[in-house]
Amino acid sequence: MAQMIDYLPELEGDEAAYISKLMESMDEDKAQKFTRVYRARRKEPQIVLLTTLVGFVAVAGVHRFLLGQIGMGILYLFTGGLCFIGTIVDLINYKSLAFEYNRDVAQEAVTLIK
Amino acid sequence: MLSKKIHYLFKNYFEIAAFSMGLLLLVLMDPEAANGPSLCLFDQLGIKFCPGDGLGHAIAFIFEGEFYKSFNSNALGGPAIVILVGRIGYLLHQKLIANKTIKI
Repeated sequence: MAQMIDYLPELEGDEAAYISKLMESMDEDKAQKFTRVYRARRKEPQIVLLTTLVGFVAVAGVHRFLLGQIGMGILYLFTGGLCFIGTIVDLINYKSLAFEYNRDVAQEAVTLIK
Repeated sequence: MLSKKIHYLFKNYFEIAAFSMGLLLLVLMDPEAANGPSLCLFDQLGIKFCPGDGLGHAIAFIFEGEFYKSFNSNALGGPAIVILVGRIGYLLHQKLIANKTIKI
C-alpha cells in the first residue's frame, strides 16, 4: 500500500484525493513507476490558468490546445475566446479543466505500468 | 450541507451550465433586433476590431434558419454551434454515463 503524499507531494485538492485512492492498491515498485509516468505527463493547473490569461492580451484558446481539445482551441482562437466570455468561463473553471485532463492521464498511466 | 451541495454542483456542472445557458439565450434572441448595450469587452475598451464580432448574431441567425445572413455576420457561427454542442455532449457523457463526477 503506497501513500500518495510520499510520492507526489505537489498534488492538491481533488487531484490529490483521486490519485491517493488510485495508489492505495499499489505496491512500492508500482507506485514509483506510476509516479514517474504521471509526473512527466500531467499538466499543472497553474499552467492552464496562465495560458487562459494569455487570452486577454494575445491569442485565446492556448489552454484548450494544451489540454488536447483541438476543436475548442480553434474556436477560441478565431473568435477571441468566444468574445472573452469563454475565456472568463475557463478562468473560473481552470482547476476542473486541468483535473479532467489529469484524470485521463492517470488512467492511462495505470494501464501503462501493468 | 447546502453550501457543500452548491460546491459540488459548481465544480461538476459549471462549464456545461455556462455554455448551454449561452446557447439557450441565443436561441431566444432576435438577431434582427437592434443591439442593447454591447457586452463585448473589446468594445468597452474602445478596440474596434474583434475576431468574434457578430458571433452571437451568427448563432442566433442559424437558429432562425437564415444561413446566408449568419455567414455574413460571422463565418464561424455554424462550426461554433457544432463544437459547443459537441463539448456539452462530451461533458454530459463523462458526468452522467462514465460517472466521472468530482467528489466533494
